[in-house]
Amino acid sequence: MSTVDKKIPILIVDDYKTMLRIIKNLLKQLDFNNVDEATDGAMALQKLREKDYGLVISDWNMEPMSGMQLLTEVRADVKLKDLPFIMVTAESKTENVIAAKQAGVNNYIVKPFNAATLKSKLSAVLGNF
Amino acid sequence: MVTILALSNDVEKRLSQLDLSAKGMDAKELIALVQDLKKGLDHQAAGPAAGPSGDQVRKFYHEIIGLADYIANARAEISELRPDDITGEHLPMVADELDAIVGATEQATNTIFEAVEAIESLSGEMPEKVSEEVVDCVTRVYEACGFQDITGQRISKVVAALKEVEQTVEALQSTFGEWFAAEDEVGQSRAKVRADGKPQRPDEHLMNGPQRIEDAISQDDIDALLNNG
Repeated sequence: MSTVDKKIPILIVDDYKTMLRIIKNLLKQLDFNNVDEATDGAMALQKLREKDYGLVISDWNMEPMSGMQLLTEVRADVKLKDLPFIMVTAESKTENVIAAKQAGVNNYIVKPFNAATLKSKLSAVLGNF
Repeated sequence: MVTILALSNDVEKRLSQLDLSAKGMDAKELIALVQDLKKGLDHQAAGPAAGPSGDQVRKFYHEIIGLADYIANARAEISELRPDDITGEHLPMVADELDAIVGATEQATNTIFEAVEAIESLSGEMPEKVSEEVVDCVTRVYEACGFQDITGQRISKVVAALKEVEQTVEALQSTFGEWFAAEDEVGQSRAKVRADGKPQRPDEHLMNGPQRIEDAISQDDIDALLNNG
């Protein structure tokens, strides 16, 4: 039985609109329809401070503020520090994964990815659905 | 050879110090001078053991000639580089073309999205089994569209590498600036040759390839131009 509230607001962050669209469509297939978008870390941080989100799914390689900088800011913010954060990135070196883990990421998806991978990581972070 | 030269200089110095017109000349000094001269001649006659052989000198000479040729070739190749063309024309053009590829793939991907999203929205009206299969196919298309993000990032890396090359060429240009300017004048009078070494075609100036959207004219504009008079 699903324990996940699929109405939770989710913020997806990527500087490629194509990727935002892919993630949004895949989330929609999983019945997560309350999805907002941001195209870099700074915009995402602003949105996170204006609205209560239940999950962030962010790319790493963005300018001017990267996904890693966003994660660091989130974890340093008293109100946001416990927000679930999934990194979705083409950065697939071990050192990247370690750095993200040390910064407090909840899960890490390497691009290109498929719907099953996204679903399994969402389950790992939010609970089974 | 250096030893002989040094000896010769020494003998010359000592000869100049001798007052040969003086009757009271020191015989010991004269004998020492002659002995040194003889030593020098013996040294020269000793040959290979005392200095470089003729073969070694010839080899050394050929190496110097080879080095001079190498420098001349490098100079010619640097001249062919035409740094102004590289930094002012070729590299920006390549960067623009790569940016255009990213733009074109994004546009194509959006078109695919629109079509597939329309199909997905109709899946609710299909029989359940068909609908499941359609949604599964649509999902695979969504996944595949991730190529645009990946290729875009790879192209961005290439553009960054090109900028590194551009900066290096600019540094070279600033080092050899005046010399390049002089060579450029010479270059203007050279026969026009393409980068691949083939002679330019008469219509080379019209060989521009696909245009960026903002630079291109539409099919309607083309039709209008053709139909106008």
